Amino acid sequence: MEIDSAPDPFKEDWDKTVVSWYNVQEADVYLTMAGIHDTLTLGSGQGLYCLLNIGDNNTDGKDEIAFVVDYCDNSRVNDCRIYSLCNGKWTMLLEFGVHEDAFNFTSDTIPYFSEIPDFLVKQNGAWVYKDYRQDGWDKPEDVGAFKKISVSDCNR
Amino acid sequence: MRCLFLFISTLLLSGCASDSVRKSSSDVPSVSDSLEVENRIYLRKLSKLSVYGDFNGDGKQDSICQVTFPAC
Repeated sequence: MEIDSAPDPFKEDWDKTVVSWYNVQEADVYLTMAGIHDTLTLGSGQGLYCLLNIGDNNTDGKDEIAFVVDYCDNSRVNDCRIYSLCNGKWTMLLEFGVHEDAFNFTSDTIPYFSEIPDFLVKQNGAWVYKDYRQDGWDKPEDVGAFKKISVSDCNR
Repeated sequence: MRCLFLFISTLLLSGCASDSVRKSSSDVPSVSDSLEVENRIYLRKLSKLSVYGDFNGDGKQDSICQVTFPAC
């Protein structure tokens, strides 16, 4: 039976109530697609911060997806993963670091994130990204600059 | 003398009894206490994200859904 409600992390103690509740449930996050038998298991967590269709960046005729898992951990550093279906199986094409501050909000309701502010955005019709974990650059002007998504297709 | 002994005994017994009642009502957590603690957990509806696109290259629109399941 699917979990459809959980302790509110905005009202409850994170460690004592929220994390321990998820640990008791042994909750796992999955992505499912009708007609595809390969279910993508993403491990123990609350859900996803975002789930995006970022288009066909490797021109293989299929759209890629990008998502960030909302893990039950105590770190604000996380990863965005880009996946594509390769011969009926989900395959990770790219992974880069993000900071969860990108998902902060001040509204009463949780907003829908159509991009990851400061980390994965659409510029001039193309998706670009910044890797929070990157700590070295070739040129000074590259520091903090967005990079075009370059991912191979299944056959390369 | 016997009446005095009975009177003192009655006084001592009633004191112990009232003390034990006081302890049981204040120090031992009752069922209603534990229910109050449980009720303080605020539940929120989990967001279920989904995304649309052509993910298998067949030219048709597909949908991918996120679900969170407990361990079997």
